[in-house]
Amino acid sequence: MTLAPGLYHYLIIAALLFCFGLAAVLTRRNGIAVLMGIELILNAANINFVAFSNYVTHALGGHVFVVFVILLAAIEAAVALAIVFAIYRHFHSVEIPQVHEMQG
Amino acid sequence: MPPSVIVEIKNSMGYFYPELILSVTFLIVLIAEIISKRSSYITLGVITILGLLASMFAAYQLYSMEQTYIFFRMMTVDHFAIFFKLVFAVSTILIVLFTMNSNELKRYDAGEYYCLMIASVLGMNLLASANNLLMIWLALELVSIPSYLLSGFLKEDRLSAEASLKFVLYGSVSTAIMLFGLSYLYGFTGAYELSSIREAIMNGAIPSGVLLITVSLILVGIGYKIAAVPFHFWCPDVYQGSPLVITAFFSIGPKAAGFALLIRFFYGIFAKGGPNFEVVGNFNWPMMMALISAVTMTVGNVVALWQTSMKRMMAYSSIAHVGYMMMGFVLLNSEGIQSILFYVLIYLVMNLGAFLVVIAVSSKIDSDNLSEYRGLMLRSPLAASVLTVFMLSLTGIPSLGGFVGKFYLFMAAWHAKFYWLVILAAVNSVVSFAYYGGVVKRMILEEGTVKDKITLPRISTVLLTVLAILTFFMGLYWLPFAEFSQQSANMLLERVSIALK
Repeated sequence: MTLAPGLYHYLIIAALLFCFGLAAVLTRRNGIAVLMGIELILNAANINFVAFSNYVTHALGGHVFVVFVILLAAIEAAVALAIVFAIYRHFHSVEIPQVHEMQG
Repeated sequence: MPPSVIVEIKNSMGYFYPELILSVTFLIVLIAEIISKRSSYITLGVITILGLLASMFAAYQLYSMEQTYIFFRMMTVDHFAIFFKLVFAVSTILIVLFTMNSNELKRYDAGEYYCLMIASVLGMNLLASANNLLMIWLALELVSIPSYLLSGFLKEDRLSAEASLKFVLYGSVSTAIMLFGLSYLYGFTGAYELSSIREAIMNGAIPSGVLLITVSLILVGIGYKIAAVPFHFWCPDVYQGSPLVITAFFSIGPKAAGFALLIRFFYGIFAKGGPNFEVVGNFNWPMMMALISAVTMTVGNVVALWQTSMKRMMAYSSIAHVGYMMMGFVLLNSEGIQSILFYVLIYLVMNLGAFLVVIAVSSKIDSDNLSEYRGLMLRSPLAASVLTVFMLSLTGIPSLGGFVGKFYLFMAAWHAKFYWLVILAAVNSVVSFAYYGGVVKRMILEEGTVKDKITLPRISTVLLTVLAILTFFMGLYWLPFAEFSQQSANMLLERVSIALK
């Protein structure tokens, strides 16, 4: 009996990664940790795309999507980190509950 | 590259002028900023306006040409998309005019500001005509990423930094969740293009449970863009913290782009036929959307009642208007789409008008607290009277534009037998009078502590008068606008039915 990984293994891994990412986003209070959660969600989607593209459609469409997603993730991280840096200058903290002056 | 590819790209370029002109304007502004040591908001603003006018003209030229798919069906050039491109250009031109006499931004770099704005408009243009999952996601990010930076544009201001942090976190989480949904849609149907996905779904490619999860995940991304409840939490904070002109920018362009995406995505994948559509896929999304619409307008209006900040009040008001517009979306007929487009036109005029008054006034009184508007009638009769017109129009008082827009939406929903939704929306309109009317009452009936006169800059006076007259005009003679939106909506449906063959 061989244990070759198939489509479902990848899908399960991706779904788990998505749940971990979402959990990080919802529970972590540190701005940087939330950004890490977002990266997990994006990479979960990437695994899905490549797995589907390899096992289902047998075309390169999914791979192309992944290349764009990686690019966009880098851009988004750059922008988000710049903003977190600005937050640190004003609030001397990157803990989200402390950045809360507006409410209503 | 095979010759056929080159031919396709060459042909597509002819339909791509609005976006090409925007890209060139982006580069010109960037270079002009580098060359001139002291870039001013006026000169770069004029360049930006010229670029936007050129892009608008190019889009208008396309309106009379044959509708088609370009870049290997990556994008659609149809009247629906061109309608939105015109809306984006007009609203951004107005915003740039507002920017020129805003005091808030003076200390910061003009070139960066205009470049980010043009990039965001380019993203909206692409989003309005995207016909492919990859294009949709990339365009959505191109709208969002410059917006995150724009909301934090006041680098010295704490609230602005907080607004941009909240915006970037909500925004990137939502788009990432949407991407995960798109990956399932791609995997189960094996297609990227909206019409091919629909065919696959009609053949039962996706089990209904998976379909429900997928659509919910994708809805997170679209819902965040239009700020529908329960994805609206970013909206009030971002509106309050961002510079006022940018808040005005967010309130029209990106929301209209979100609606363009919402309509094209759902009518392109989960509906067929036209002018009366049938649901594709084994789940009742119109009912789900009707519930979201009902909750969105109710939450928006009720929470707006006890706001003390003008910007926050306008944020909840914009959420409520998104709820009204979603009424047209759930009806599954072309009448509904027409009334959304018509409402977008009217909302553009009255909402930007209201924001322009707030920008002009708050540059003098340096606060956006609602109590500062007491006695405005004596301090600046013009500002107070035009703000009254816009507030009453947003409420939907007859003879003003807002009433006609709401009337079209309500009638469309009534014809489609969504009686409960119409009644709820009517009740909501009455509730909304409490806070819109409250502003009017403060300005006219109450007396303020400060009594010195406010003089508005000449450009604001002219713009305000034009927008107020336009609001009246749309309320009395709306036929050309209604016909324009009817034409723009009909053509999308034609496209859909052709794609079906």
